[in-house]
Amino acid sequence: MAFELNATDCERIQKDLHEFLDLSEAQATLLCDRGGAILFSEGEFQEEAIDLICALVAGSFAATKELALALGEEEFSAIFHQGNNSSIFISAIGDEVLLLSIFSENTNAGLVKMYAQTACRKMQGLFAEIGDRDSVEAEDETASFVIRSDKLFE
Amino acid sequence: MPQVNYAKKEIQFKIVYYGPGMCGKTTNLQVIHEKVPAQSKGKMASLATSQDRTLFFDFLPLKAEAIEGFVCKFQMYTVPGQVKYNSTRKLVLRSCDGVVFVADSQLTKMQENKESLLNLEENLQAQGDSLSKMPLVFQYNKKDLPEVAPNQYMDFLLNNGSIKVPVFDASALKGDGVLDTLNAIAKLVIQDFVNKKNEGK
Repeated sequence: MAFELNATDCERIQKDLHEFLDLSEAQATLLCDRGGAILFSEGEFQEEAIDLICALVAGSFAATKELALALGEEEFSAIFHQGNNSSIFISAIGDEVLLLSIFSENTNAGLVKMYAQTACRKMQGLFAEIGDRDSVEAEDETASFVIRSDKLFE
Repeated sequence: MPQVNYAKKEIQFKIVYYGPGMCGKTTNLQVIHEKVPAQSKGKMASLATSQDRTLFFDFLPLKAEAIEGFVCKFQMYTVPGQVKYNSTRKLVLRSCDGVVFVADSQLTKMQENKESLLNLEENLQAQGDSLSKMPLVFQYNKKDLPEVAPNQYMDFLLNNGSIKVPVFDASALKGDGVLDTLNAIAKLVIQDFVNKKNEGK
């Protein structure tokens, strides 16, 4: 599903993610769709790596879903990768969106998992609302899409 | 449809390079990565086996100011061409906005090309899309090799729908035709997006 986010959506998402980071003590978090497109990030990310992170998060989650199916489960709703210095927790928000949380060894993994679940429940309604919308109220009513040039990459 | 963020003035398109095994999908992305200037590309990743065969996908993010006032991001993916990895191809095709079908021009590869195109059509249908409505470009690759099929024959086998799909000859290993193919599919996905927005979809 393609989401079209306006400034109000972004403010609401940012508020929820900010609250999640505060409560969980995770270092950074991002939302991407299951196709690997970035929706929103909060916390410190290397700008040039963020698209790759989203692609790999979506790929990792999709591979885990296939693993679940092979084991007779419909889906694993969350996955956890533990590293020496930092770890990640990926959880599903409905059928379309994924929440990635990155946290250090000083953060309690249980705390991140618990607040990630709370954040996912909270944002599921928001994304359902955004997905159900017929059209997006762009800030600029006169906004139009004008193609700039024929040759984009040389 | 691509992801649109009006607050960030950003549109994200997903483009998938599809085709039979060893047809040059990964080479296309590697050449694009070499040729495109640093400010227009991000990190490339290849999830491959130790024999350099694509296991999951290759990924390359690109960006350009293709629509006035918006940054257009193009997420470029390849699928694994080997027949056994169909479930992986389905995963990579999810939410895709355009496809480059890379066909191997060698005469001995025509059956594999046809099977891969049929597989693409089936996988698109399974996710509610269709080949006829998807922005699509054909790249007839490996034109530098001996014993390649003429384009008329490849069109007869592959490009035989009621609407002819744009075709680009290429020798991806030498870098020929790669950026022409990229520009064509980028333009098509943008045009498709603009058309849908104008129709109010």
